[in-house]
Amino acid sequence: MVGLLTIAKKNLKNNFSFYSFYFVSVAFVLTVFFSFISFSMNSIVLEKISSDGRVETMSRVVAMFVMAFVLFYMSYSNTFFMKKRTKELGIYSLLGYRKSTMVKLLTFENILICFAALIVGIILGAVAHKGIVGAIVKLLKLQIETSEIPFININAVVFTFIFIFAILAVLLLSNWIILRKSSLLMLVRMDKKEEKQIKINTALSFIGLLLILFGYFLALDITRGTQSLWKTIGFSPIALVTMVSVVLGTIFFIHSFLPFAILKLKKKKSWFYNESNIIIIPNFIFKIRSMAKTLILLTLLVSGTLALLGSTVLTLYHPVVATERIIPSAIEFPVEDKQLATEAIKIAEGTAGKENVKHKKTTIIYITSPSHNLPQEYSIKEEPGFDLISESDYKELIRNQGKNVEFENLNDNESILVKYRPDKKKLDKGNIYTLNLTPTNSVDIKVKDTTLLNPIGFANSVGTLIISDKLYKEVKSFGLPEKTMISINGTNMRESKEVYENLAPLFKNNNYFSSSYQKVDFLIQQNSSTFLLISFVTIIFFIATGSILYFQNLSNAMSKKDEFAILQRMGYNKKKVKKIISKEVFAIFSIPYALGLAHSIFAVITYKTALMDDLLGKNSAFILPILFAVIAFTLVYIIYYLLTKRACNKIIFDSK
Amino acid sequence: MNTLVSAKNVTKIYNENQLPGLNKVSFDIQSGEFVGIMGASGSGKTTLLNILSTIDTPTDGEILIDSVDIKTLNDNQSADFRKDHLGFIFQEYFLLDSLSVKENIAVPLTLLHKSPEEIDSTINNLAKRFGIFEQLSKYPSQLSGGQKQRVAAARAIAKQPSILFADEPTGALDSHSATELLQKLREVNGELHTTILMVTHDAYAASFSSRILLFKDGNIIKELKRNNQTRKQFFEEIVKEISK
Repeated sequence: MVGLLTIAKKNLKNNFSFYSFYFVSVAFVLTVFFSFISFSMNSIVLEKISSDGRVETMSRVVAMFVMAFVLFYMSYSNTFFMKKRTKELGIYSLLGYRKSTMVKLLTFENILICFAALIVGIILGAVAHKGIVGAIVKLLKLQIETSEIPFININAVVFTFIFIFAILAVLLLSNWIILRKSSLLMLVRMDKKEEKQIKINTALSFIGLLLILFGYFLALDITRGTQSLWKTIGFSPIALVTMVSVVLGTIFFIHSFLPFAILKLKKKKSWFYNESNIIIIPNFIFKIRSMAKTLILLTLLVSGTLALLGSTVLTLYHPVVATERIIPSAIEFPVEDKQLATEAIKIAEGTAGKENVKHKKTTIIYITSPSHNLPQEYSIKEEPGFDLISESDYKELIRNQGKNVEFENLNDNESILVKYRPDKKKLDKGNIYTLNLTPTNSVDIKVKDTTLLNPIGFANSVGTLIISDKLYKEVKSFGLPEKTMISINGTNMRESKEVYENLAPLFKNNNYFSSSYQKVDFLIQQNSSTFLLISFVTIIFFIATGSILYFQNLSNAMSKKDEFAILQRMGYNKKKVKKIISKEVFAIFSIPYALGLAHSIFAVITYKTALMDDLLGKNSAFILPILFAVIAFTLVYIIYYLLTKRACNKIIFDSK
Repeated sequence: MNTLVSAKNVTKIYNENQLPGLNKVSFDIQSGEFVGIMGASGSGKTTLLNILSTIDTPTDGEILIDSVDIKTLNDNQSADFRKDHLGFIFQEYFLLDSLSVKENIAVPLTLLHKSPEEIDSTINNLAKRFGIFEQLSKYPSQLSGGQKQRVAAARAIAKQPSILFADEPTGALDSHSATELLQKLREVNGELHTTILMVTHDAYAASFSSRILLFKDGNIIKELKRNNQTRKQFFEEIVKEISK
């Protein structure tokens, strides 16, 4: 009559507020998991987007990671629920249930939850997968008959089932271990087990703070460039030290510094003797030790999520913005065949309308220099040298590109150096270079200033020197090697797919033909699969962070229900109690957020300096994507906060 | 009458430097007795109940319940022993919140693999006896404290345990509910011959029993027998004894 299965079902039904959220989170995680597995098993799409197996390798790595994390998340939640249920397990034990029977009961419950969530996950995951494939096909303009892709990939279903069985086995084992370790006395008399009074170790608390600061210092050190420890000692050892230092620092910080700081705050009587603080602060101090593990875990999760999201958005966004310098004109190509060049201009005008097209022919002169203080740009290219461009050509090109020229007219002995990478200190400014006109004849020019506004794409010119029209004319008369380029600009030209597609056939094997549209399109093609894979991980991180926060707060609220009833009897009205609840929930939300945000910002700075080529020298190119990631994360986090607060209020004020 | 519980030199030491929780305690309980254990908090009464009911283990000594040496039981054996021989009532009720009243009472019977007909008739009889028949389909959260404790008592008695352990059963009840419960316990003791061991610090509750062991600092300091006194007389004797 009351079999194990009945008890399991009843338990799930009656602890709905807890389990429903757990169920939703598991279903969500499995949705993401299933759509990810379906995607990684979708050979039709993978073949199209990955020619060299790069995406396959990456998706295998991501799959391992996702699986490990899902397993971790499920066993974390499971253990959490087990601890919540000590009393209930104690009653079973008193009634004479064997431990093996209790494990069976717990496993029944897990099976019910996991399989229901699995069904939801497979259906939603299949829909999500369909949507992702549709989006990719559209974004990357793939030639795929989407109807050929089955709605539900049987292999993915089998794989997901096996994975769920593995998870259930792990949960069973972990429940067995927990039950083995717990004695009946512990289960029944659990109220006797008090929270240990905190003893604060001042040394540890400061070590925590110092370790975090040391980690941040190391992270920032990378911006010193070649002199930084990351270069002199080595990237991997310093990366490891930084990470270990920050992680250990976080542990000590939350474990020791936080209670230390709060106890100090408590000494400020005017602040402490306040109707909500007098409740919140002692509660917090009382609970901090048992919550420390969760807070540390959450901090690391928030840092991981934000760093991952931030660096991914940055990696996607930055190269697209940098195209503005790599290919400053909409279309650019060297004139090797005059007829072809004329035809190209005609086609461009024919496609976009004559009034919308500005084309400009520019000739640059190659020249060498015997000077010793030459800039980096001089020697980057195959044959070291400067590319000379006349001032009026330069100005016209820059204006055609819709930008403003940054300098006044040049004297004959002056020049402006176009830098490849930004150089805030302008080290080259004021240098004097000797230019070889002939083996015996030379001219000296002074670098009046440097600029980042390059008129010509880096494929066609690096180390560009802008000189006065008069000097240019003189140099030209010496018959040095030159190169002539056509740059096409105009209204909406940079985004014009048609102009590119109509011109491309003329320059089939020409590596120097460049198009900003084509470049951006290529970047999107290259990075979208990476972005997609990282998105799967990020979403799973998001769900895990949110649900752990939710569970922790809900369990706090449940254990304090009676205390709040006492407060209400002591004269706290509903509004005041609500204020206390929201402050307590806020405290648990804000600590991992603030610390995780700081960690991730330093991580992204390190990532950016180490792995990204900064051509723009504009902070906005970094700040915008990071800001975007932070805002997106914060919005989701706020939603979690509101949901959690609502659920806690419901628990406290529900009379049942 | 035969000896149901026999405790010899039962000792519990929590911490080498502290006084023992139980110091060589010996006593017998006859089958069908209603024994009260009294004492202030820290006197060792709950420790004794924990040890007798296999919740805790003694440091030293011998305990036989129904001729079973409970010290030698392993995890599974002690679970089975509780299933077959012991019933429990606690101050905190310890009902399963997810199950209805009827299901709560049915759990121990299900564990003993009784037939559905037998389970139903047992539940109905006990529910009438404890005045919770109307509540059978309700859930614990819908009951008053007194009702909850009567459900707990019905659940403990349903399987006809060799002995019923009650730990401060009236601790959380108002005096009316407490009296009601204690009367039911005495009734069960008299009519069904259920052996009861009740731990309490309350002289009124203790006066419902037939014999009282007074505990202090881990020792039995006095034994009181009701004999032919009325409950009221016995109560007065207890009060006199503990206010000494």
